[in-house]
Amino acid sequence: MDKIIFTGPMGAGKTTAISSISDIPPISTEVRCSDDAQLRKETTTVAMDYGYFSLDDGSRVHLYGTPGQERFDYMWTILTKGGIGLVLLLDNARPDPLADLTFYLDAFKDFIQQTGAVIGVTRMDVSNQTSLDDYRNTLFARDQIFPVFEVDARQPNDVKILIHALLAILQ
Amino acid sequence: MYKLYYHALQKNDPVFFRSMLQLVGLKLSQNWEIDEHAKLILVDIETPEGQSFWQNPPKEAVLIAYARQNDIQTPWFLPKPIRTQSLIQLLNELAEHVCCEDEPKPQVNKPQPSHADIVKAKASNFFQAEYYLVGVLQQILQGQSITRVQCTGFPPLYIIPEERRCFTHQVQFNQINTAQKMFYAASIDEIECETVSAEQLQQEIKQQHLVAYPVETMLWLSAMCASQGRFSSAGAQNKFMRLVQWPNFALFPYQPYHMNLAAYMLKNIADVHGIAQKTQCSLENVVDFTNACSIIGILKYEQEHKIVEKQLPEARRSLFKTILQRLADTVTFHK
Repeated sequence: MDKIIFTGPMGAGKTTAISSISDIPPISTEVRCSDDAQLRKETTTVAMDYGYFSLDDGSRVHLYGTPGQERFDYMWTILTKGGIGLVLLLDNARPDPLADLTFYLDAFKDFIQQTGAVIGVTRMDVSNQTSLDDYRNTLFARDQIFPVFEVDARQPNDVKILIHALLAILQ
Repeated sequence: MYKLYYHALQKNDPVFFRSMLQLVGLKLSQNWEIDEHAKLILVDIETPEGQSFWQNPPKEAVLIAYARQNDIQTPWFLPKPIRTQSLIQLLNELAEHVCCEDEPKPQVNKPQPSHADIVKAKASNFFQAEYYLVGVLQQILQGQSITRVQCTGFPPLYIIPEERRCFTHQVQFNQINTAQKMFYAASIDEIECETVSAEQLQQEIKQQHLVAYPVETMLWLSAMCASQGRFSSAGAQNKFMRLVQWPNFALFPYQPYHMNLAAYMLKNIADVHGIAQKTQCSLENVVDFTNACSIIGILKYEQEHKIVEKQLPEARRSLFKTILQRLADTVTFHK
């Protein structure tokens, strides 16, 4: 099964990104937030999001979104199995987005080593305290050069750019 | 008194530079002095410290590249080693075109090379950025004045150097037509530049519903359109090169092969022929891409090539191709 994995912290736009390019309305396991997260958004993904787009030969590329909250991290390994690559979405308006970057790169280290990753930074219009150069420098310090783009997860073109770049680095 | 300073000069270069400045003093159109608070800064971009400084200059600084060759195609460049003639020419041009006194000059008129030079540059087999819109933009960015760039028959482009932003009518990246390409490829004799006040710009933005873009978007577009598959210099085709970071395709019109070129050039160091062969792009497209990357400062030349061989299974290659075809209705740049 060919699948692309979307990950990142809660509220970074994973569910929205999948819905932007999926042929079907994404199937989500969203529940109402019951803790501090409620301040950020009303619902959050607890197991996964799922969508797909069809190819000309009738096959499908499956799009899986991981739950954002770390307490559901057992789903991450399950979802990444057999994946083509990783789309990491980061919310620039969170308190420490560079720490988020490091966290997710570490959490998906094995999967990234086997495949590759591309990074989309959302909500730069809300907060620009962290620049794209800051993300690049953090990656550079880790000896990793992944594509980093400012994206709006609601815009299909922005999500497609991420997938284009992901496929380009995998070739 | 005009002022300048230097950064990351190696060994005896600071002393040598000071001596040369004294030596050429009588042949300069203005008086110059070394001042550590100067906005004009000569930077040795062949050192890591200089490269870092070049990427993140102090606010309001106007940088002069100091290197063996002007590989980054910056308008303000001093070749190594320092020669009297090149220093005189540089300082006189800076005095004429860049605001480096306490009071800024009110007007930035287009620097006007002779008509014969322009005709020659347009017909040349080499891409000389300074004769095109891209060179004009680079020059404006070296100053501080908000500038309106106008080309007859086209909407104006407003540049705010300090913010590295520009304003113009909305650009549909997937529908850049022939007329727009003509504007981006305009030669220097077709372009009028005029400084405007911040208030005037605000008024124009409001009245004409202008949209903001990072200047890199316009630098990229104008380099792509003016390059026309031409090398930047005779030696460029044999140079080994790589990218130091991904072009921000969220800001640039792009074709899928641009992604492949970027991915390849981030992993490998090769000359344009090698890049074209491995990525199966035309040489012309590779040259345009590398020229645009050079203009936005993400291309680096290297002494030795390095190729990372990677064999992707055919099934996977075919899958990726099919996915890319499926996504092909995305933002594109029709050449």
